[in-house]
Amino acid sequence: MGELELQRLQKQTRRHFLMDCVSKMGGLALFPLLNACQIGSGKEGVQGLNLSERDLNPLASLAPPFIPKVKSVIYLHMAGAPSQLELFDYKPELAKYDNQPCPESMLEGRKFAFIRGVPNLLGPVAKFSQHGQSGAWVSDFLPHFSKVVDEVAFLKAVHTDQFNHGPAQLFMHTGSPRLGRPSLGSWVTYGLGTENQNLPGFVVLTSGGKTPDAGKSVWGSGFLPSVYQGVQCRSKGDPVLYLQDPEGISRDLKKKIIATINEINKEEFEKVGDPEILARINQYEMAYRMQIDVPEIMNINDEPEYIHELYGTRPGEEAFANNCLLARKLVEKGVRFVQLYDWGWDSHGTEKDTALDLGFRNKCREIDRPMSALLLDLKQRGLLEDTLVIWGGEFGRTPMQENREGKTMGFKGRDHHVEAFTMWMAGGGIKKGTSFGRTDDLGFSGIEGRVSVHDIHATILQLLGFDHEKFTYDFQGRPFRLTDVEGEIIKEILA
Amino acid sequence: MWKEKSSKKFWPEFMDFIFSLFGRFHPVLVHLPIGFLILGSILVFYAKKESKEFLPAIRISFFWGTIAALFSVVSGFLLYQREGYSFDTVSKHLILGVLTTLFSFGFYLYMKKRVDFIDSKVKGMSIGLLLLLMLTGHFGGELTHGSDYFTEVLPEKFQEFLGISNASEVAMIRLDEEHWGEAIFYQDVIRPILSQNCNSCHNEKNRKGELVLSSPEWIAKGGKNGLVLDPIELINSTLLARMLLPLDDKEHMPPKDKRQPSKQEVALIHKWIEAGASFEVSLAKAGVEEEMINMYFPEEREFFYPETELTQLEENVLLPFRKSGLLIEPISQESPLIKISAINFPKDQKLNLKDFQGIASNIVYLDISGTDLDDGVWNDLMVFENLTVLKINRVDIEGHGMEALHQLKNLKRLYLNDSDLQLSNLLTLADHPTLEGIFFYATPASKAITSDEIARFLARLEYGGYELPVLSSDTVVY
Repeated sequence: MGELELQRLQKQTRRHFLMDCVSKMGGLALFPLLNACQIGSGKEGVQGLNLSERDLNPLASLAPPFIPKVKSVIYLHMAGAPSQLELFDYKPELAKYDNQPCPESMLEGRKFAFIRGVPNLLGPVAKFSQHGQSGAWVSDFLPHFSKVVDEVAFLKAVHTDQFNHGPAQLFMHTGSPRLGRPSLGSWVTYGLGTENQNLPGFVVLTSGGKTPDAGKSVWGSGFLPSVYQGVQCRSKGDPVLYLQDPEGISRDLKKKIIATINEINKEEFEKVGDPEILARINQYEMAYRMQIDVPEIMNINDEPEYIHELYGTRPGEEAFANNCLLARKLVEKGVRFVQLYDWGWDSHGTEKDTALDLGFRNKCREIDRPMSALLLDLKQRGLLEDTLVIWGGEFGRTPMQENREGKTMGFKGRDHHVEAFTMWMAGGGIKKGTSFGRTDDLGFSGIEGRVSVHDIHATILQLLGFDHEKFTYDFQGRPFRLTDVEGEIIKEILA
Repeated sequence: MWKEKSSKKFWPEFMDFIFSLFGRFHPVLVHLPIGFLILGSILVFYAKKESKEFLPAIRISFFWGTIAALFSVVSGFLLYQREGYSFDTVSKHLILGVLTTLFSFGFYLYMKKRVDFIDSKVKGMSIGLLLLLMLTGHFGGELTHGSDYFTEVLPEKFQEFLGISNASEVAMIRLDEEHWGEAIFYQDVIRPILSQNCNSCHNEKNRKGELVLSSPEWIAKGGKNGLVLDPIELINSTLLARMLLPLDDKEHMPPKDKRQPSKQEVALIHKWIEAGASFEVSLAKAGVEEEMINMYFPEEREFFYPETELTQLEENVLLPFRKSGLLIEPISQESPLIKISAINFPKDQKLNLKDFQGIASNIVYLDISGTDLDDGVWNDLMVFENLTVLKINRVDIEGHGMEALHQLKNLKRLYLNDSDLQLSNLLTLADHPTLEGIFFYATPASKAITSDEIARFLARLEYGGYELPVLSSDTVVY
């Protein structure tokens, strides 16, 4: 190593010194210039504290650049990726080739998470029929949902480029398969704030026993101020951990404590000017306000009996049904973004729980009634006019049966598939009862109306009143977008 | 290919470019005679009565003014010859320029004769010369800056008064979603494309390369390099071929630094030429597919909220409402229309709609759900002339007097969920002309309403009560 360094130094000539001088003197000259810019922009400047309303209350509601179609979003994410071929993408041709080897032309140049060699095709496990006025194909695994298909717009040829759960979930929720980007909900609350000042603007509810594989980054705020990250609430036990006052601490005392802490934090902010301190102050204040409103809203016991029946809730348990009911309550109370994660959709067919005709059907039953009820309940309250509901997984599943390590699985299962899968949207601004995009006869690739994850993000932002190309946040010297340099609005599903 | 190489002799070629270059100096040169002639005229007026001390200076001014004017005229003539201007365009400027030169020369000769003092006759002549100069300059300026250079900045009303409508001759392509097939390919699509991309140089005034693309006759005529629509091999016509050349190619049209047509526009020209470059053929007959032209369909611009001429409210007007706990924001960043919500309004406070009188016209979205209001609310709402969405959920309101909502001519959505709304009161809104949706889930009215009554409403009624049947599959565990 030392030798290498010597060699390098010997190569350094007088010219290097001159070059260095030029570039570094330039840097010296640039420094005060840049500094001046910063003060001019009024963003910070510890001396001249110039705080906007937004600094003091980062979650204050803001108007979007354009008149929005919806003001809230409920995103139902099926973590693990449900099989589109057993739910919405009906492929009678695939049934004909059931258990036949997959044509090699389809496999050429493609990678799968577990499939090796030449797998067999697997026909649809479910029975399909057409429903509603729109004649949408829905399988018998979703008998309740088939009654509400006229409310939704299907995207039949969504594609992604990540075939592992973590990166694919990150991609679906932050627009990038790598860590560090803000989630969709964070972007939305950053751009719009939230209406109800006693509740978080971005609430996350999970069910299915586990949180998504990608971890909490899927509702993280990335480079946005941390106040915009999702607040995870639980439907069982304390809705928000550590929110209740400890015994012997009265609310008045709590108020005094928070006031004092905030006072100290403000002094600290004036000294160092770190905006994260403001976020901290605000989070203390919000937590104090939330102590009253959150337990009230997270309590579903006061809902009338027929609402419980509609959703099929299981009070006291962690259930997707409870979360759907909560999502409706939260949106009704003016929460901007409600993100639901339901874990357990990774139907590889390695065991009973991941078999398409067994465990998968149980998962379908668990979401069928609640998500249908959610649409109906939002509709009857007129909330569907102001709310966008999104349903989907992080990718789709292969038309081939999984053959992990070249062996045939004991149960019917499918591998991860990035080429084509189904998502649906419903609510304000969405063309009801439509289906956009088509896959080939085997359901392998989209052949019409393919849409990317970026396209979906662009469309969501459009419905909320943003131009996804102009909605940016400056970080590391460049403006960042949720859709990066891509994304086209899916006009075909907009009313 | 398109340019014939001229002879290899040096002199003609050299002179050729010298003339062109000299011609291009015209805009510089013209300022010289202006300076000299104005100086001379000033001196004419500067001279004291019946004195002749300025005479030599005046002579010099007009002498050099004449020389400079001569250079300007010659350079101007070269410019007109070489840059493809038509005589009609430059005629006024050219004639007046020559006149100015002649006049100033005459003036000089006259002043040379005069040895006595300057009288009013001389002054009159110099005023005449100045007028001539100004007119020449004005018409010259019109050529470089456009004839609307001055009028453009005038207020629109004043322009209308002067009778100079600013309607740009560049027509945009507008096609009807249903009858686009009947549109004439040239007239409705190709002409606007040429107009936007080519006509700034190839118009009847400018005629770059002696080519004009503004009408079928001119297009058929071609330019100095021949026809642009090849009668034998239509698809190889230069009109299209030069657009298809790489941008860096010298022959590429429009020139590299000019506005470039979009891919779709080039594709449409391609299609038009492919279909025979007829000036009469319709889009459908030419075999144009809808995808090629659907970007020219009108965007549906049906506004949900009323269009008004209101201005954005001042922050200090809104501040007291904000302080009281109301959420107030414009419906979009720049909009003067606002949305008010009582979502954060303290439960123990009384909301008084009369307070909104001053800003009521700006309010298009009002959510006063969960507040302590009674049926007096209907009368207070009368001043909200632009109100479009009204949400009064979770209130003790039966709806007495709600027929007053007929006076709100923009009301589209009405929410009365979880209220004490009585059916008889709701029925008064059955024929409300603008209401699109009435939401009254979980009210006495929602339980009492019959299908006959529902049919009487112009608006869509939403009163809920949805159920999902219990299915045997609901309980099967696999």
